[in-house]
Amino acid sequence: MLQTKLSQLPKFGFFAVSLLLTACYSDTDSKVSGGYTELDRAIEQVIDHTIIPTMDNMLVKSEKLNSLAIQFCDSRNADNLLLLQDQWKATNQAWYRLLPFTLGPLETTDALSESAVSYIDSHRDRGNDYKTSIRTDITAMMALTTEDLNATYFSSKNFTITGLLALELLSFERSDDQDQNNNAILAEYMNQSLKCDILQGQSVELLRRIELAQTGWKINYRDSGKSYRDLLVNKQLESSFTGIGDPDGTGTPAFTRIIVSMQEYYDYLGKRNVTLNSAQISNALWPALSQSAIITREVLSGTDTTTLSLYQLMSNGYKPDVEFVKENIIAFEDSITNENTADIISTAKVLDGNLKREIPEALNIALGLNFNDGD
Amino acid sequence: MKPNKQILSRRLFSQGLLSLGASVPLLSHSAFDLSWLGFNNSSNNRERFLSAQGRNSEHYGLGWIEPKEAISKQVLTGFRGHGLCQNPMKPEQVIMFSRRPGLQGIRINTLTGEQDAVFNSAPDRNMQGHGCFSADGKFLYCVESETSTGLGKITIRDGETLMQIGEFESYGIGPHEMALMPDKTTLVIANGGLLTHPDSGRKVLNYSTMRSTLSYVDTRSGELISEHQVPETKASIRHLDVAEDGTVAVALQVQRKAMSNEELRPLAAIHKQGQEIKLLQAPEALLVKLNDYMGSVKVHNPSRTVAFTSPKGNLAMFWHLDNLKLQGYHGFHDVCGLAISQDNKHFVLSNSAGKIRQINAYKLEENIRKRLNFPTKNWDNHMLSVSIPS
Repeated sequence: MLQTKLSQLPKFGFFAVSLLLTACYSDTDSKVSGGYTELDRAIEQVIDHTIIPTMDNMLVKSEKLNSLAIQFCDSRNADNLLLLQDQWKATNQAWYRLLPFTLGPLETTDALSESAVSYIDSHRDRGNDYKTSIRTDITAMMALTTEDLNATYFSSKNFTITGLLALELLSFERSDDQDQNNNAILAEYMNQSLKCDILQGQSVELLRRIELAQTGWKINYRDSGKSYRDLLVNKQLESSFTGIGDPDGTGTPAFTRIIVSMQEYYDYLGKRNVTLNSAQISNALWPALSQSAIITREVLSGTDTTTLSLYQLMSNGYKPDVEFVKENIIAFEDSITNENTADIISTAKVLDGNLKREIPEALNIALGLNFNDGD
Repeated sequence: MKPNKQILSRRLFSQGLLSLGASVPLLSHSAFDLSWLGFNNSSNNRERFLSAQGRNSEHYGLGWIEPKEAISKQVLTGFRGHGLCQNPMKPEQVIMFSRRPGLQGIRINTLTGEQDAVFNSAPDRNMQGHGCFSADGKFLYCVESETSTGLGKITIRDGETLMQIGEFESYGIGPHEMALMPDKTTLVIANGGLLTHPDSGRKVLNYSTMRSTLSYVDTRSGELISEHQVPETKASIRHLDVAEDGTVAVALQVQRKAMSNEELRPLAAIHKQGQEIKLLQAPEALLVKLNDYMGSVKVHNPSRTVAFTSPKGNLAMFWHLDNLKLQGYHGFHDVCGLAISQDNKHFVLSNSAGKIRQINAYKLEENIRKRLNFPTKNWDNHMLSVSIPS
């Protein structure tokens, strides 16, 4: 039994206390945030050369998916079904290229509502597989009329039954019995024209959400009259969105928003059953995951037009870390090539750690002392 | 509720205190709340916010700001600090404890801005980051841990010399924050339940057997009065604050690594005497953002509102102490530090980017004019608001 230490009191006095008088170090910080740094310049280039083109690419792919859905429904044949399916895969690849950047227009604008990203990819937020919900919803919609299936109807749907997953099920399986044979799928579309209304309704809704996100990035974010790009680069988010609970008003710097978004993506890959749940009906996951690796490398190394990359900044005293991160991206790519789920999880966790520690430290930036290292 | 368990000789304990000229604390109110002294009501007094700060060992220190003047100062410590407390009878004295597992604490004189004392853990003890004064200021209670066993200890130090004069159990492993109850004699202690050892840093060694409790301990005897648990056994009770009526608000950190599922768990709770701990509910969309982590909690008594901060969620959240309903939330990057302003009207929030924001405690709206930014400061987990004479 542990006893009181009163009997040992004399011993404590020996070491317990020493009185010191020390100098008081003081400063008088400015209330104004720091100016435009090299890191700001590098991040601006990441936004302009990588993130926004990736957003643009997703819009282009979604537009084409929508046009091919229309084409297929206008002329329901095997060739057009194949074109539709190939375009879904291309769109899904574009999505996995964009997935590491779920910030701003793709993030929630109200902490209580679902984020835009959830309506596009319902698995992303909490790793739940909503195939059953979508199949049930398709069956229910088949009992409606063309007039019922209007744009407003699709826009009001819950995030669990919209987005890429809904379009995958509509494109790659017969709704009646989940038969994945293209002849069976085509026959269902031939026999039930309402299924085309559903396909086009979901396609238009996906395109609407992607357009909204792209407009937010480039033209007008949340009716501010300014693009998210400008608000982020010019450090105006905090002063522009001051409502209580506004996630854009948190004061989180651009670098942190981007790096944390990427880190959360790799955390997601490490935690959720992505290889078992995502793009399974289309059998199209692995090429999509490759896009995530490509874009991660591009964020760090820059593009042909980049004049100051994050790797360049990191190389100033942290070359081993640069090499470490490069090796880890290669390991992640290898796991994709080998289609090895266990390796995907382990390499994603390593990159998650790199984005939390090595990269910010090499750039002399704290993602958040309390975020990273609370108690 | 579990029965009392005496592990300390009441007679020996009392003799020890009496021999040191101690008396049973007479004054009410927690050590953090000095409004009853009239000390902070004078228009001549200056408000200060104090916090551990610094990103690395070169910069670790105790920093403070005077919001009216928008200036900041600091004392370098060489170790990373964590919790702070103020001597209720000598309000100019503020203690900062080292972050766990630490070995040091310091005292500064807020009038002079000088560090005037440093104190150390005894052999086989390490500090766990928090502590508080007795109501009469004669004793400083420090939350510590027995290094060899991991058992929680509350060490008793002389309030003036800071020499250790005794200790009692925290009645758990991994104790963290602690506060004095309004009865002036009871300490409420958050035993996080997580076993660590300084040799392995902050690595948790007992996920499978962790047991977190909220313990009430009689400071006069060191006896356990009662202990309470939350329904989720993998939720670590780590931070707390006490309302004037004795309601205890606790902040939780869920140890997801120890769980086999991803189900969200509430991270805030309150405990009222004679009742079980009640969890404070929030919409799932908010809960998921918190990443299983609440970092600090503070009660605003006039509005009966309790604030919690989650740096992993970039959110401060506010519940009513009586109807237990979520009243609002505020997004703030890496927010953790939390205090009550000296006018008793605002929650003061701080973050590691050196920013300060103040939220009206009644309307739960930010007063944007009170924003402050000290880009070279990295406010650490906790903040203390004090008033000092001009």
